Amino acid sequence: MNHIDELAESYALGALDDDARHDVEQHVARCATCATRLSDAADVVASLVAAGPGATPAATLRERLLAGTRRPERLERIWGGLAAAFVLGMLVPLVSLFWIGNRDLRADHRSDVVLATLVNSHFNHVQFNEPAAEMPAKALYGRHGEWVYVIVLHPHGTLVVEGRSPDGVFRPLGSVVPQGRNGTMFAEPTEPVDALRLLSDGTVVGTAKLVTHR
Amino acid sequence: MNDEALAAAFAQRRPEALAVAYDRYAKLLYSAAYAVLQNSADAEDCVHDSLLSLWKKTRAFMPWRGNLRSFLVVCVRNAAISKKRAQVRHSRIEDVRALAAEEREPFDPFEHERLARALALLPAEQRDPLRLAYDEHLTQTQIAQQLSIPLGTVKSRISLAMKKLRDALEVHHESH
Repeated sequence: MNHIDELAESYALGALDDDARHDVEQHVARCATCATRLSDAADVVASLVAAGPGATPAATLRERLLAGTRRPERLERIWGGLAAAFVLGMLVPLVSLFWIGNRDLRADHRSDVVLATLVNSHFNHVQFNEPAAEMPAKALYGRHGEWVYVIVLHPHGTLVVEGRSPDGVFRPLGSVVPQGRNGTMFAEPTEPVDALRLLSDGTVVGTAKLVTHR
Repeated sequence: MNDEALAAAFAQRRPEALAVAYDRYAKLLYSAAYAVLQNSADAEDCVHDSLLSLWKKTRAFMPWRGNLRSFLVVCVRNAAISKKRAQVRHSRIEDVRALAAEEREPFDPFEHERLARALALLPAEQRDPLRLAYDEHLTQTQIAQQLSIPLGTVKSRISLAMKKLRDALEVHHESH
């Protein structure tokens, strides 16, 4: 689907059938331009609703809603525990490989956040395809593109990671921080990204395409 | 928690965010559903199911998608319209007109007044398709048939009407 154009206003008003509505939702999930247009139209609809007759739901609705979130949370914890055990089994050797030789093994807050994210997520990984041979790099990323973790072995120079947004523009995600002989960068992009590139002192030294599930 | 912080917390599905969002927007969301369905049980189910579905779905809302309040209103209202269309298809709709005749105060009298002024400024050719979409919950195709105009014209007139309304509301904000 190309940009949704005038469908944005019709979507917000509820004037689309289910199929067209689905197409719009799929598109705006990865297109910031159309999401902005839809958001503008949604603001108008919210104003129309606020200008209309007011009604108050029964007090029981709040409890019913929150109760509906608790049961799945318990199930998620069970599944989360199983998944964490599985991921840890896969992850520990992987992380050990990358961090071997790193003499500073202090678990600072940042690495705690990174590890917690990795352990609690389904993720994919991809090798950067053009870095210099002496500076291999790999990206681990959430299956929905919600986070990106880049690991660079033996980095040199000032390394920056950029992500490609839905509008096709690469924007900085963060700098690679040295950790012993290696370097890492962790980011949670505000927009979905479908490709990464690694820049050393402003020159592209690596690119990687992400395969995300939306 | 301000609206921006709430939107970020909702996107991250932090446990407290759903309760805060409900407390802040429940009346508006319920009003949106009730205006379409004209039945309290159906409207409550609609709000419940929509919010729960959004909450369970990873990345259903991201802060870059815009205002959380508007996003939720459109989601709940679209769900209500789908539900109503299904009811009509299955002839389950009850005495809607009788229920609709019930007198209720505007959710926000101030908003009601300025929207009324903005709507009055729209030419009839733009106001009519907007009204059929918003008040009668017709699809673009149904509006085209009812007004005997091409589908493309319906799209462009609705789009233009919405942009004019937005401009009118923004002008109002700037004057304060």
